[in-house]
Amino acid sequence: MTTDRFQDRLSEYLDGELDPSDAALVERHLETCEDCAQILTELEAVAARARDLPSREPTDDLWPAIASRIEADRERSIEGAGRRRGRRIVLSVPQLAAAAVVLASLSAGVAWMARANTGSPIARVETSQGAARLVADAPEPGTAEYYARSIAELERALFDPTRSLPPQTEARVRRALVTIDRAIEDARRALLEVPDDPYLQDHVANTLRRKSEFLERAVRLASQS
Amino acid sequence: MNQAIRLTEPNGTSERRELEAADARAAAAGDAEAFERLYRAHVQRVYGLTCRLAGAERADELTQDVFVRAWQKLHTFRGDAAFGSWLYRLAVNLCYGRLRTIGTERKRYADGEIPLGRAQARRDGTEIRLDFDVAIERLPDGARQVFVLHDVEGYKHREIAEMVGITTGTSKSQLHRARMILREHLNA
Repeated sequence: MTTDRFQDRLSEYLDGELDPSDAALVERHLETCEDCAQILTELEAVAARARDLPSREPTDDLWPAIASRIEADRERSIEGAGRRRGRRIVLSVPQLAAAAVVLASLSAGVAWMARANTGSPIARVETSQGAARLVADAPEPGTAEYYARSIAELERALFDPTRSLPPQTEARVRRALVTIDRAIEDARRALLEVPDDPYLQDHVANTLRRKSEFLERAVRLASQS
Repeated sequence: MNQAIRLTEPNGTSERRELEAADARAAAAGDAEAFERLYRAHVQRVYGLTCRLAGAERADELTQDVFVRAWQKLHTFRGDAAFGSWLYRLAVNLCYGRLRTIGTERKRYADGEIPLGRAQARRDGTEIRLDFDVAIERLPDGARQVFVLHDVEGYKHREIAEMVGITTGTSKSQLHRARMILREHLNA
């Protein structure tokens, strides 16, 4: 083994990563090579300095921002606990505002649909069991494909031309969906740039899930009114 | 705060571990105050990790994201490891996810040609530690990440290889490369 080769193994020797025969070779070399012995001492000092590095503290307290994010998350989680045990979603403020306006209008504005919906697609999602049946043969739950298919079916149910929503209500629903669709488009664009990023993959699936859940609630409220 | 406690070792006393496990269970059930206690106990380590892995300019944002992600994933914490170990692994994975998206921004460091001259050690008390941090930040990407995970955070090469997606041989050679560069910094 040349001196360079010994030098290349010094970190492994220092960390006890060499097998006994190689370690013995390095030890014998160190007895005669001052350069390598000096380098070993210095590598040891570097490792010791790393172990003693202090923790670093953020300049500002980050908790208020974190608390605000998890509080919004917690409230939504409690709200949806019946349907999504252990899963949490994050909606942006504009999305929440849009959803609130639309759901409020749905509660009061589409009562007529319930009176006329016998046998309609809406009837299929009259109960939570019905909603489950609607996506029973969907792709694997939690995937973007799963939510995309769920969305398509829910949209068909909500915007069924034979049982159309009152124009004002439909306009509000569609405006909210534009906001949600914009978020989905943003997420998809980001994923196109970095297709193998698990964070972005998760983000796309989450934005689709938000839309699916919004539609599911809208359909359910419509059928209950 | 001294950072001698390694990630792979028990995170303090068994009592502390039990308390943290209880806080984690409470937080998983929606108790934000319990989660704040966990945040206060671990924010320095997480912030230091994100600083050293991804750069100080991204550390605030990444630290927030780590804790929000942890909150969302608490139901997966089973308590068979210390909460800190679980949290730091989550932080490393999140950092690596982000580093993949911002990799091109750091390419200028990739060949290890960034001089350490501006990061020369001032041998006076704590400043030398800060300078050592700057020297670490100037390491080539691969060498810096392995050095931080191995020598600062205490992970084994096998664990680093798994997390980073490299072989243990590459992990060992990157560590040696980092130490050889930093040894020149200490000698300056």
